[in-house]
Amino acid sequence: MKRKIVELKNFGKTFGEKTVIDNINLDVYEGEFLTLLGSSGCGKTTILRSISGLDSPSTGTVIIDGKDVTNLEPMQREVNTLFQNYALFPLMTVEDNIEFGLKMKKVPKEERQKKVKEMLKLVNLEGYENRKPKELSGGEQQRVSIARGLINRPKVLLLDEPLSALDLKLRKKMQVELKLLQKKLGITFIYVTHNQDEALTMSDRIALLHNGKIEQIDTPVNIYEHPKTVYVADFIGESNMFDGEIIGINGIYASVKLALDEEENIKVINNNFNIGDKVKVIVRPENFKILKADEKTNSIEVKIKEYIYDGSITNIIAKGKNNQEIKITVPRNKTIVAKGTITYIHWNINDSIVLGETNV
Amino acid sequence: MKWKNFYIGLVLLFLYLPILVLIIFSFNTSSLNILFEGFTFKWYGELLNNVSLLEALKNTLIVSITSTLISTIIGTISAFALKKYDFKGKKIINQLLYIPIVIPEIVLGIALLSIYTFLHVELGLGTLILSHIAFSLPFVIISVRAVLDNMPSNIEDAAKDLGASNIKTFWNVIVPTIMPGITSGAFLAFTLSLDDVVISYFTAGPGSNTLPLQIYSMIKTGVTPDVNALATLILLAVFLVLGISTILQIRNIKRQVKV
Repeated sequence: MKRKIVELKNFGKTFGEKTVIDNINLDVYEGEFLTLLGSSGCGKTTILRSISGLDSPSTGTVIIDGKDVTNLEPMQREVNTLFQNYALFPLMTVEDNIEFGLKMKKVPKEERQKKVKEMLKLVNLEGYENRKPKELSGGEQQRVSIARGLINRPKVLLLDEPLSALDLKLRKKMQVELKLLQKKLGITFIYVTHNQDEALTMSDRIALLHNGKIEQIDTPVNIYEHPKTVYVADFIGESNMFDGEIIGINGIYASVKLALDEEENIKVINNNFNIGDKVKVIVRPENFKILKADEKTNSIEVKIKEYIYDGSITNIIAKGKNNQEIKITVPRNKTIVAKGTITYIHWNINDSIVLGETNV
Repeated sequence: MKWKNFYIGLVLLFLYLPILVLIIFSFNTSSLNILFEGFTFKWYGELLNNVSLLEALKNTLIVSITSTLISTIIGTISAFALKKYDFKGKKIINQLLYIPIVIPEIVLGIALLSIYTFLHVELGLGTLILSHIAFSLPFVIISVRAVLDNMPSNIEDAAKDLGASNIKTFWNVIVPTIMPGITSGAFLAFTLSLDDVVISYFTAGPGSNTLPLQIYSMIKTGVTPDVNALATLILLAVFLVLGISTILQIRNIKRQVKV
């Protein structure tokens, strides 16, 4: 087991009557890239600010590298933050901005200059020393804030939606850069975002927050492929959610009757189900395969409604027998059937995510 | 186009002709500001011997500089507190700040005089300074507030996060960032104080005559041309300060353009 670098124990935060974070426990391991994912107002930034010391929890403790820091000032904690909109000091040059953390720690001048040079090299900003933040592009400002945040070699770097102000292309580029930088330096990153793509691309683990609780904490693959609750399945990626009932058990498989198409039964992996259990069957749009009417197995009847071209893929909107909308994604060059056609869609037994009532 | 230049010329003439006349008459041999009779530096020499005028100038500088310093410091700290902290009555205080700016000076003057009398405070330089602080403080607060409101969010958090104490955050990050607001507030306070007549008239005591009061009282006994000389010298000082600040600004812009 890896060493714990940040621990939140029975952590809670209330603002007046409102509970933002409800008694959570979270362990972050040394060197990992952990993302706190959630919709706005879910308390993810509050968690981050409590780790940096800019905010304090209402209940519980914050432990950094084995030391209880709950009541310590930000200056006494070995963590640094990348802020939304960079928060660069507007009147200072790039060099002064980056050097600031070392100055506050009273590092001698020679060493400061050496370290600033190293940081400028690390973020590819050599020759930018004497520029002011407003003379830089968004991406360059971002790099300055990264250099500034890393120069004190924090045990943990906290990132508060640092890429949200960049345009899509630059954001994708910076995602990769940040991830590579993190691997190279081996510093623990705790990253806050509401953008699920960002979370899936960059993280070692994702903690999905909802209603002040951690809904699920897991690797991106598990979060996407094995969501533990309906909320997670719905929040991460596109999904189709069908109501069903277990009508038969056969060893490792179970049969489900779907409200969608009561004539066809679907086989799923048996997960300690009992006959009569109400379940939700969740299927990702890309896992559907459109069949010709005569080769139906593990499939349901649908009517194709609409095609939406999206570059490398095509999105299809279909309707089930009970008029529920179904999202299907197929590769672009796939031969597709005409609008209005009634056909069958099939998916693999393994591609059904089946959640019982307790997971709702 | 021709008409446009003519129009601008007219406006400038309207603004600067009186000042020009003043400067010209400061070199006039005649002691009456009616006809220009010949060129002389005499009045500049006289000025050095006019003890009451020089005494008034000294008082003015003491009052203006002290009141500017104090109101700038108090104003900056107040503006910061009003921006940063939430407390009961904050909205009311924010509104109350504008009232001294809009109420007539004469009302403020009478009010200040009555409170000094009520508290049995002897009128003099002290009461003058206090009064000047009172009327320039709102200007400083509003001027600093305007810059604080435009300060990038989070930089205070960023400074603390990078290991700065509260005091260092304030001095090393916030003060430099809001410096334009502080200096413009200070300049406002200084100019307001420098030429104030109405409030000073009520709150000055014997021996604490300021320059505007002295000149004002000279109207009764006749304005001597050495006042013209003094006014010219003050103008010269103002133009020097303005000139230097403009040159510095231009240099700054040029430097930024280069990088």
